[in-house]
Amino acid sequence: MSASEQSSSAARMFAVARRDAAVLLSYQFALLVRVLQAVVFVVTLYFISRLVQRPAVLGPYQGRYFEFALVGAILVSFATLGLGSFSQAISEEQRVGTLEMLLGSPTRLAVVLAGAFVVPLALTGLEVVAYGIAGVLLGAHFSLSGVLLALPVLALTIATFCAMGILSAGFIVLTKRGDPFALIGTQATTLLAGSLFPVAVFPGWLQPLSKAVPAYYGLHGIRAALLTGAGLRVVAGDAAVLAAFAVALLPLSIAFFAWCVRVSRNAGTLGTY
Amino acid sequence: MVRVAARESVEALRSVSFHVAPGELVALAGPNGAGKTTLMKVAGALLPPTGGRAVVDGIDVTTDPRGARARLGLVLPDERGLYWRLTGRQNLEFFGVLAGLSRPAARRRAGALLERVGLDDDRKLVFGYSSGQRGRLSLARALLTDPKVLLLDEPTRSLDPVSAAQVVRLLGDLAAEGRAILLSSHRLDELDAACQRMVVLVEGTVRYTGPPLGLGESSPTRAAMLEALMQPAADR
Repeated sequence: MSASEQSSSAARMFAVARRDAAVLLSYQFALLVRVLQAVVFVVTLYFISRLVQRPAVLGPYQGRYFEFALVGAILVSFATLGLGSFSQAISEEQRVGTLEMLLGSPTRLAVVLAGAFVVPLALTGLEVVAYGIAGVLLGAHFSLSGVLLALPVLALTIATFCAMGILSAGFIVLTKRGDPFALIGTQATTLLAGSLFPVAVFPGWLQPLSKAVPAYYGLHGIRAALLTGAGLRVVAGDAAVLAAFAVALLPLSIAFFAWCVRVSRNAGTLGTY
Repeated sequence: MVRVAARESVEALRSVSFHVAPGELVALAGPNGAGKTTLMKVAGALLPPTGGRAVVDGIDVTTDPRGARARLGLVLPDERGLYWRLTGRQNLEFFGVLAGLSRPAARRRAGALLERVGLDDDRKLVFGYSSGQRGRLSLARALLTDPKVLLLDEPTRSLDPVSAAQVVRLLGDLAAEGRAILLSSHRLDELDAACQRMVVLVEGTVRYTGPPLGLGESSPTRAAMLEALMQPAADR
């Protein structure tokens, strides 16, 4: 094989993404349903917001529950993406029986997993766009200048979720089912981080627990940027905490995943489910 | 030599030693549970042995599994190893890029291989294929990088006799092109016809290595030989 006929890691990653896109497009109705679900959810949030107009507890956000909850819903979407997409990719390959053939190729599993993140990321992006468009049509208002500050916070939040998602994928490699990381991560994000309500409504003893959940800082930073027009100083604090989470968790999760793959490969159970 | 964990450790292969030369088609025969698939997976660098070594085209699979994988084509008996929501061509192009080919090279190679194995319907998804067509597509995938070594675990399992004969002829051609081929099958007649040498594996050990035994022929002598050869050690 000449050098010009060889594929790079990036080309292999995009081959995985192209494969996923082709499979996804063979289920077009599922794509439409996902967008519709997003729109229906936004409409639901809108009517809930009319019920809880201008609650005092949302003072820092000018009492705008609709926008507050929309940001929460968007972050939960990205949490689900980061926490679940790696383990889902592994499970799917095991289920359809292709994992062993992928491992039989000279491509690293990490490259395959990185490629398998692309289409779910695009899908979540599409879902978030649907959230945004439906939200704006229903009267949501965001600070456009805050978008630039919110994006790095979102990226760091996704990186933290991905680190937990890689832990989760490692667990799935070993146990095939019953992964606790995604469950804990999603529930903690939905409940403890305050995605749909402010943590100020928690009893005092529970509130400090929220600060142990990375999503808390993501939600705080993004809401500050988009809803209150907060400056770099406020958002940078949240970004720093998220960066610390990501730096601590990513190497740990990658090492754990590699260990799980090694154990499973040695046991001959990598391709089974 | 190899430990495969299900619920407990099992010694799946023991003191197995043989080689397949370039241009040679060697048949691997043995009863169910003899260790044929384990042997294929060890040689295919999918399953690390707990002891010993396997060498593919000069590369030790235990020390350089990725290098070994780049030099071999592998067919496993599970027809689920393809993406059923993709066409045959899309499957081959995908696995071609993963095997290290550039996208244009993978596309060219996929087209040529689909023609070679007699699958040229571009629009048909793999779930619409017959088992035999999936078998042929798996074989085409093993040939994507034009490997010098082919490890084929029951490649004709799901094929009708005519398709199986076509595949066996193709394997003969591939061996004639200088490839080293290790072929396992339960179809003894096709092993006789196709291979130059035979390895019989029983309970993880090599029971016979040598010229084809004519095991597929139906004669009382052959039947007795086959029974004696395949018998577990405890019964001998």
